[in-house]
Amino acid sequence: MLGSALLAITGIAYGAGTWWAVAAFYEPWRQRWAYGLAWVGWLAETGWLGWSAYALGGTALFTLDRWLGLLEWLSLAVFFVFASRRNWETVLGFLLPVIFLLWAVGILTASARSRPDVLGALLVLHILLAALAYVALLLSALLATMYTEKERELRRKHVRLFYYRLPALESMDGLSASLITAGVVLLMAAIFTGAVWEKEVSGRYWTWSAKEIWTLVTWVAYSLYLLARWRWGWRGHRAAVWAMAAFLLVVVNLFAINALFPGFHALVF
Amino acid sequence: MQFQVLGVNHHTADVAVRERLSLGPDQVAASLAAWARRFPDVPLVILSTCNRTEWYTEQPVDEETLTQFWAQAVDLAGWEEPLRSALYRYGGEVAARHLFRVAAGLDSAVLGESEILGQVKQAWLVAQSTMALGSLNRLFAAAVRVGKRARHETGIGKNALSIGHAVVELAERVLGSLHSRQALIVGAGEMAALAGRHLKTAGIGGITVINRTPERAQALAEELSGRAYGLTALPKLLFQHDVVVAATASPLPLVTRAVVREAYGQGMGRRHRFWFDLGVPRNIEPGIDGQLEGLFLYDIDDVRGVVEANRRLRLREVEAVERILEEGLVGLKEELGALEAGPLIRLLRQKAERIRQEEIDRAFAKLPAMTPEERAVFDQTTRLILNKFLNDAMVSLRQWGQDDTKHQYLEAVRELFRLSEGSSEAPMAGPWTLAKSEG
Repeated sequence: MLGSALLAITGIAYGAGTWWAVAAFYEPWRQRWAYGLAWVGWLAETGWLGWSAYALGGTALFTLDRWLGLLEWLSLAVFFVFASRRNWETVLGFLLPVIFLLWAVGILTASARSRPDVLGALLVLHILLAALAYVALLLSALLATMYTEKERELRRKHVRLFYYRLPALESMDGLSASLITAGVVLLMAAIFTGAVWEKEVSGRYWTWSAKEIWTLVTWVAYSLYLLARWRWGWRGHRAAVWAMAAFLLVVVNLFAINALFPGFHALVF
Repeated sequence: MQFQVLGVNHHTADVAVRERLSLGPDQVAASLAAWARRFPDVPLVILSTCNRTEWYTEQPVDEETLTQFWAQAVDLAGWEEPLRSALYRYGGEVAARHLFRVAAGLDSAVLGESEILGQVKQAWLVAQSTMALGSLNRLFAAAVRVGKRARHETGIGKNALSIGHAVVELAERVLGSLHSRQALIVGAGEMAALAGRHLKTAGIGGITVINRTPERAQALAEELSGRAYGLTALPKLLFQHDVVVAATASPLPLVTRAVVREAYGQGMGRRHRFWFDLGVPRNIEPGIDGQLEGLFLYDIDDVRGVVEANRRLRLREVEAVERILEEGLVGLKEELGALEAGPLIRLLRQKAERIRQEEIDRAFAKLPAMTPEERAVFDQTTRLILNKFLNDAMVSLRQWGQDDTKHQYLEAVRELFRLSEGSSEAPMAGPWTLAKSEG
């Protein structure tokens, strides 16, 4: 009962927050309300994740709804850290709709299954690293989207909403690159911890499963982004398009690979 | 609310009339001092800027008296007729609303400009240092509050409305803070200097000026604390700077595709840059931004387009500012109402309390057997009866104090309870005549 109530509050706050955050592009005074609702949703989700762990006697991250819940929770936590330092509240107008969508997907695929007994410390670390990597890559993709929207207005010389509301192009470009750097490092660490855990379970570090291959491809795509920035001076539009395209690999990895191919990661469904 | 404003502004007078009628700081101080000597009981504030000269008084003052003082401050010989036709006078609530609109920037030539708020504050402070301002203090304090709220809570003062300011705004929207950026100003004419000054005010890291005539480049560079070069240095300098403002009278483009291609070949092509071509004919070959990644190129019409979009955005904020303005007006009325009814309320309470105390003392004298506890209960009960009885009257008095049309009610209460007896509040004497105000 308590879990359902917390989940409902989370969804209502994220849903209402989405509306207010998008409306804040037109009327900036709504930003404060959107921010407040994001906090309410985040606190309720904190409670829900905690309650889930308590009720199931473990972190229970083997179900898709809880895994997505963790992603939502971490995304907002990272956002709050950035927003408090940089005054970047407008990111919420892009982030909250995604978070609300993830919450809705979680609700639709909610499962009673749990395998808390399987989760050792190493596996929890692996999951957390992977989640943080995906959060960094998600935020970088959102910043890249914001960049291209604002750039389009500036290139067309017809300034509208995004010209006024979004941060400077160079700041978004720089932060997106920093997040991708963090994402690449975290993803590498997640792959490494996953391999060590695999060795403990099956005796092999690398099994060439679809999940492993796709994650490696994702990691290579983002590493190429960093190489292009460092070696060929990629900035701005080209870098933003690459960041958005590369995130499609993450989306496929999160949903399609887990759904279509058997293995440990399929457990989330 | 008896305030009056009499003046001229950019809506009613052209610049020739306004400059004739405007008062410099010394003239304002002298006029205030002369006024304070002659009418020490009639508070006055003079607001004189390039767009308006306005005389705010606490109560209606006839036009003759004010224009006489005006004529003492500036030479109005031959300008009486233009002054008369440009003059406006508002009274009461309309005068207060007018000042609020001025402070909020709604009455400015450039909608929402922020300089006027400082000028209102300054005019108020100067007048304060000359004489006691009475309720004009409350009016100006409320106006400054409204002006601040308008700028903090709405977008009325946000986004550039001039070409020079728009150059800075656009550069910041792409590059972020300009503190570590370098700007190149091509040309040393009026437009180039204007853009350079705005960039300097925005705190840009460094400015370089180049011009066909090195001496003119040097003069502008000195003003902008920058460096100066001849025009031949253009290809080399072009790509060392993040912001370029070209504003020369050159009949042919100075920055061509060939120049850009050469620089691009040197591997300097991908960082964000903003080039502004403010020259007519254009100084930068059109379409060059498609050749260079990360480059934004805006000509004078493009910048004007942004200024126009900003102006439309500010217009959308007017409604929100009007709401703040009305709230300010309600607050001021309450404040003035309390001020107006305050002495009367005090007198009424004092009289009621005196009567209560006398009757209680008489009763206690007749009932010597009463214990201290019984006396306290008796005292408390009579006080409560009095307070309850007077409560509605207090509320009504405060409301009447806010309403100019109900001031006679206050006088009626004063007469009814004979509250003015022995009071030293005689009506103020002065040489002015009460003028019929527009409000």
